[in-house]
This record gives sequence, C-alpha cells and structure tokens, in this order.
Amino acid sequence: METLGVKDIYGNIAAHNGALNAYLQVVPEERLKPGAGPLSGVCLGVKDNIAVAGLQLTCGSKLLETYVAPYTATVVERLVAAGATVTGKLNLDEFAMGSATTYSAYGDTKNPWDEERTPGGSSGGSAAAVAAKMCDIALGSDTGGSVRQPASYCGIYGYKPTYGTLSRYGLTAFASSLDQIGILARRPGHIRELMQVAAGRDGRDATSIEAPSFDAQAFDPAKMRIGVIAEYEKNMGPAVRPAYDRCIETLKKAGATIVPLSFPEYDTVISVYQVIATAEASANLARFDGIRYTARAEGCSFRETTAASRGRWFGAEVKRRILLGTWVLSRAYYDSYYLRAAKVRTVILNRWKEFFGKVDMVLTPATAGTAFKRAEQPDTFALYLEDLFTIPANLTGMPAIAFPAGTHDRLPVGLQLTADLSRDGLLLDAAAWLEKNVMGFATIERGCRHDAI
Amino acid sequence: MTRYEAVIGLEIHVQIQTATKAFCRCEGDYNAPPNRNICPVCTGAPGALPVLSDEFVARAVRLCLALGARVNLLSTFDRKNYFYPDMPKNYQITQFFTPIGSEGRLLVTGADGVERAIGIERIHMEEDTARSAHLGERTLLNFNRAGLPLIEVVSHPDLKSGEEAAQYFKKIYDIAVKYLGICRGNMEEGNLRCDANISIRPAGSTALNTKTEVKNVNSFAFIAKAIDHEIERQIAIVEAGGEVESETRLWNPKLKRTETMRKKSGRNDYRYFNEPDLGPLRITAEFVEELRTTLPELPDDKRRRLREAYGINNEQLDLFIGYPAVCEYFERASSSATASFSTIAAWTSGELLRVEDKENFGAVQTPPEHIASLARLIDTKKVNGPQAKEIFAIMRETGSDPEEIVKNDPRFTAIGDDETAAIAAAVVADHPAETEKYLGGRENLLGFFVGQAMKRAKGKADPAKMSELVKKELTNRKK
Ligand SMILES: [Zn+2]
Repeated sequence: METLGVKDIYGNIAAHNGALNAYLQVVPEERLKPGAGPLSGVCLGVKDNIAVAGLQLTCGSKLLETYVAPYTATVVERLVAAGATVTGKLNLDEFAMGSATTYSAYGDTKNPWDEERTPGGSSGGSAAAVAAKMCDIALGSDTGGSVRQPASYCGIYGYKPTYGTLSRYGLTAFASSLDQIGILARRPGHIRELMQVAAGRDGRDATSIEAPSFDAQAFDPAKMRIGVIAEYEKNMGPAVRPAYDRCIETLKKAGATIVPLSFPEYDTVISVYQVIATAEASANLARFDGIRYTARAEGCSFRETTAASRGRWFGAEVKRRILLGTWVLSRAYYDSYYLRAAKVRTVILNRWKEFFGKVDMVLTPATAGTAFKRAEQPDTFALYLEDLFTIPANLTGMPAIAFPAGTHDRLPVGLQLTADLSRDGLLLDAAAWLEKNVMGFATIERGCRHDAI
Repeated sequence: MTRYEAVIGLEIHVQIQTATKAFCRCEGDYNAPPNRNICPVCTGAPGALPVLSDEFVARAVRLCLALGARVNLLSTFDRKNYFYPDMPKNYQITQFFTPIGSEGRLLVTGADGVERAIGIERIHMEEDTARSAHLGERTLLNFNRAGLPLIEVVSHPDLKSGEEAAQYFKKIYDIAVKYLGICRGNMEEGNLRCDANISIRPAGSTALNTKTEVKNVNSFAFIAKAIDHEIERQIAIVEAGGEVESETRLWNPKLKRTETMRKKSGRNDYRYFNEPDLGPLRITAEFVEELRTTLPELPDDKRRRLREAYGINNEQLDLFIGYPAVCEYFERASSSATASFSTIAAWTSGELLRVEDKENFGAVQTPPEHIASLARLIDTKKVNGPQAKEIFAIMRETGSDPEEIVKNDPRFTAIGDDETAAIAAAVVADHPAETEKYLGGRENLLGFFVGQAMKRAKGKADPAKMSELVKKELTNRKK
C-alpha cells in the first residue's frame, strides 16, 4: 500500500483535527510502534467503538468517558500483526446510533470538504480522518449504512463486507445481527490489502465465516449484468442523479448489461431496520448500568443507581432507541413488531437473492443527496430515512461498497454497489475499475478542501 | 370437610462440570481466588462475544437422553432480559423458544406404593450468574461463577407430595452426579438448586389455582418438609376462606416454615428474543446416537432389572440405585458365586459398608470374589454367623480368600448334623431339673439349653440347627 507516512499524517492531525474533531484520542507519535509485515507503515485509525487494548473505548458516550479497553478486537489484532500501526480512536455518534456524528458526546465531527457540513455518521470521524489524510485507512462499523454513508459524504470508499467476513469480536455491539466492521479508504486497493489480512473465521466470533478470496481478478464490464432498482431511482435526489446516470452510461459503454429490477418492499426497510436494530440494541446496551463502568450516578439501590446512571449519561438518541427496542420486545407487542419485522426481513433477503439470480451486482445511490449542513440537520425521522439505500445490505448480510462517483456543488456524490453473499472480491474488482473509469483518485484529492492546505 | 390435593412442579438447575465456561474458554473452577477465572466474555465487556462450548452441548444431550427426553436437533439460544447486579450483561443467554430437550420422564413411587411417571416439560442450557457477597454496606461481585454452564430441568406439575418431590429431586441428583458424572453435586456450593411451584385444589379437581414459588429447597433434608409445610399453609388459608397469593417464598429451616420473599406483581416480562451472537444450535442425529451409546444403565431400568434378576429387598435396591459403585461390586460378586444373591446382598450392604465408605467406594480392598466365597460358606452352612464375622475380619486383614481361611484354621470346621444331635441329647440329659421346668411350660428355657449346647460345640455348630435339635430332644422327653 502506498502510505502517507507517519510524519505527514501527524502533521495533518496537528493541522486539522482541532477543526474537524475526527480523532477523540491520538496515540502520541513517539509512542507509535512500527510494525513489520505486508501492512508495515500503514497508519490505521479506529472508530472508538472498537476495542484496542490500552486505548480509550468511549463509544462516543459520556457513560464510558474514562473506560479503557482491556483487550484488542480481532480485526485490529490481525492488522497490527501484519504491520499496521494504530494512530488513535475516531469520533462517532454515541454507540454508533446516528447518521451525522452530531450525537457524539464529544462534539460534532466536521466534513473536510466543507466544515459547515456533516461528514455523515455514525463513522463520521473515520470518514473525515481518511478524507483529510489524518490516517491511511480507517475502521468503522456499519449497522445500517454507518460506513457507506459517511464515506459517500466525504468522497471516499466505504466497504461493508458480507456479514461474518470480519470478526465482530471487539466491536461494541449496537445491533448484533446487522453490525459489521467496515473499512473506509481513499483507494479500493487499500481495502483489498486490509481484507487479505483481516478477513476470515475467528474462534471468538461464532457468527464469523470463512473469507472468500480477496485476490484481484480481471474485471470485464462486458460480462457484467448490473441491476438497477426502479423504486430507488424515484427516491434519488437531484444532486445524485447526474452522477448515477453517468455511471450507468460508462458501464453500458464498456459493454455491461443494465437490468431493471423491482424492489416493492423498499419502503419497509426503514421500519424493519428500526425494529430489529433497536430491539437488539436495548439488550446490548443493558450492560451499561453504572455499576461496572466508570460513570456512576449514586442511588440508594441497584435499581436506582442503574436508572440514575443511564438517565444521566446516555444521550437522547440512545435513550430513544432503547425505549423503542424495549417496547417492541415487550410481551404485548413482540408478535406485531419484532416477530413481524423478522419475517419481513426474510422476505427482503429472498428478494435480493432473487436479484442475484439475474444480475452480478446492483447499482444504487449510497445516499439520497450530498452532505447536509450541520445546522440544518433533518428531524429524527427524516434522519432515519438517510439509510434507505444502505439498509438492505445489513438486513440481508450482503456485501456493499460506496464509491465516489462525482461531485455536485463542490461536494462529493457517492454511489453503491451491492453483490451476493461472499462475492466481496467482485465488488472490490469493480470498485477498482470504477476508480479508473468513473471518478479518478486525483479528482477526489483535488475536491477535498483540506487536502489543499 | 373438603379433601385437597397438591399440584407441584420442580425447576432444577444443574451446574455442569466442564473444563471451560459455557461461552468462553475460562476455566470452570469457581473456587479459585475471586475474579481469577474471568475474561472479557464472562464479565460482559463491550465487544466480547459468546462462543458455545462443545463439551457443554454433549453433556446436555446426555442428560436429555438420561431423562428420557426428546433431543431437539435444532434448538435456539435466546436472551432473557432483566437487570440484576450479578448479571454481567444484564441479560442471560438461555434457551427459551426451543430448548435442547423436551418431554422427558422419571418414575416416582407414590404413597400407595405404585410407580408413576413424572413428566419433564423441558431441559435447557443457560449460563450462571456472578456471585455477590455483602460486606457491610457494600456488595462485592465474584465473576468466577459467571458464565458457568447450567442446565435447567423443568417438570410438569405432576408431583403430589413433598415425599414425591424429594424422590424426583434425588433421582435427578443421582443421574447427574453419580450416573453421568456431569455435576460435582456439592449442594452447599449450589451445584444443584431446586425451586418448587406449589398450588392446591380439591381432590379430583383439574383446576390450576394460584401457585407460590418456594425458592432454594435444594436439600434432601428439608425439601419434603418445606413443600408439605407450604401445602398445609395453603390449605389453612383456603379453609379459613382466604385466597392464596402469588408470591415467592423461602424455607426457613430454623423456624421450619416458609416465609414471604417477594410478592409477584404481575408477570415479569423478560423480553426474550433469539441470541444473534450465537444463532440456532444444530446437532445431528448421528451425534445424538453416538452419545446414547455412552450412557450407563439408568436408575429406573436398573431397579427393574435388579429386582427381577436378584429378588433383593427394597432397602438394598435403594442402596444399589443410589450408589452405582456399590451395585457394581454386588453384581460382580453375584456373577462369580454359587451363593445366593440375598446373602451376597446382605453382606455387601451390611458388613462391608460398616467398614467401607459408600460415598467413596472406588478403591475397596476386598475383591468381590471374596464376599462371594464367604457367602457360599454361609449358604452351605459350613460356617455360622459369628464365625462368618470372624472370617470377614481375617479376610480384611490378610486379603485371603475365605475358603482358604477356613481350610487352614480348624476353628472354622463346622460339626455335622449327627454330632450336633449328639451334643443336643447330651446337654438335655445333663440338665434333668431344667428339662422338667421346660416341659412344665417354661419354654423360655430353650435359650439356656441352646447356649449350653453351643458352648459344648465350641461354636462350630449351626445355632439354628442346634436350636431345632435341642427342641426336638426336649419334646421327645415329654412322651
Ligand atoms: Zn471468561
């Protein structure tokens, strides 16, 4: 991997992190341990909900303000063993719940293309750090689009592997059946190099699977059948449309077959996601009771202490989701919400399996528009709609990659390719081809304002 | 007056002894110094994930098979959500929707002496919690126990009395601890825990009335008492025109009564859902069949077979069922012997267990063949009771075969019937005064004659035979 070099990266951190607030914790340069191996010299930023022994693990929450991870996540362990160096912990929405990194207890992260705008979320710190060259590559987590949406807002690549391909051991769980560690990078080739080292079965994660091959294969667009979804085309904003059309044109010219698909269930994905994700989150976050972790609001009893600690230290969005999740799992509503959502999830999975009987990949926007201004953040429910295009890959477990496909009003526009389960290699081959033919590396570099500094 | 019957169901938690905890690779030794055997998984650290122990699954399947349950080839792990200080994640991984085992059964003998099958509704795997200790105002948590494998066995409400419940509990204890060896069986340390759900109804009714739960009746000493007390308490309430309240109660062994622990306000809502970190557990029929071949003969089958094969009494049956090692010894002795099973059983359960610990019977120093050979000497009347005891002592001391002991020691050469008869006649002849008194109705003098005769025989005669011959001799004098 062509790396930026520790010196430049720390120079960039010193120059930009104050304004961007991407890093929550920076490992001092003199304490970096250079590693040996295929990833030697790679500076890795890690979202602050992934455990690295000895570094903080705040998850963007006040509740874990002074908590230090006692162990290292499998993915980080494998990358470090291959020579990568962890430069620090990156900002996020509290417990990865959000789409703008505005729900971090440690302040917003700003978009390096325009500081008035959001970098997206919840892996906003990861996206901003990669785009502003404050690390070579970053780990994020993607539960409903939390890697792909910020990558798209920051003009970089955001990849969510097939569920289970990267071990979740060490990733603080938000919604266990949807969570995947994802990678944010300036070049698709970087992602491939990381995956070659980090992917595969982990004895500490029962849901992990054998990795497919990540070796580069020749990509011939003429042999590709690319699906496009009518319902999604209707929901695309005007900022995205030209880039989307141009990408299809390019693929067509190269000989690809474009296949129209119908996804009639598209408007259920947000509800299904909200029910399943919040239900799982309500249990996953129960351990933060003010007894075992650092912040404790004193009460007279266990019950009071727990209620007071959670009431005081959890942010409003986290509380909203825990309440919703608790409610949909309650005996009276389980059947009509949780069970029904689980059934619709199966319908959606079958629909996408059917797609991949007809096509090799599906092309959609990554987001409906470009990064919005932080001051103009949509309301709670409009914000949930941000994930319309990205959620299916989480519900189905399929791999997806967001890639930069153009700019609009000097802001990056991202599109997304989704492939069938374990066809991650194909996605990376395609992304490499698109990098050459749709939006070049150099174009993105020029767009990111911070890079010019 | 109305007659009542009790409806009792038991929930028994069996702590499974495995090398590691259920979902992490920490050592399963909860007695290590506090918080020694812990890791991110069993302390619920953010990001840690459970991975199921194969050994736990195999042991759960064996317990299901031993309890006659159907083993579900697909079962689910589910989260049971509730907040408690000793719960690392504030949810417990358990099997709610589909347990590993369904619909088993065990036999108990009712008050009428008739055997009845008690249904087992479900057998499921779950994880144990941490242990809390109170130190003044503070609560200390020891996570060594957190994540240890537990199996819960839930019976149908088929039990009718404290005595039946005690039998059922004891049987599960025997199977888990003594037959399968999957549980340490230390009750003080909570290796087996038993909660009882109890309600009453008019005899013959099929109604299910409000029940109370009596917690921690895990002691063979008081389980029957605690349950019977609770039944009587409920009857007294209903007789007085009151209503039984739904609550959790605790047995107070000092005051010998159950006491309110907490009232149940509505049902708890545990918000169960499938554990996404594990996914469903799938096992194959071949795996189950393979484990079936490793099962020992189980108590109900064993009792039937022992009764039919050996015709031994119930007390001895209970002993042999409760102590498989003792039973094995008895059966080995029986297989080699031409002696009667009842003599072998009597000597195994009697004299041998006076000197050997039945709880720790593994390394017994007397070979079963020696007990068999002693029994043969007794059966063939070559030695009498007191002699047999002496031979037993010598056998224990020297390790020699009783046949050899007898052969080499003239003291044990028993006299024949003719000589016995001669001694009997001589003794009667020597005591004319006593004979007259005897014939005059003082029949208790028989003992005197037999005593004298045995003395003259130097103990080498069979006392029963001697008694018979003395009596005959005296009766002859009457004519
Ligand atoms: Zn552990």
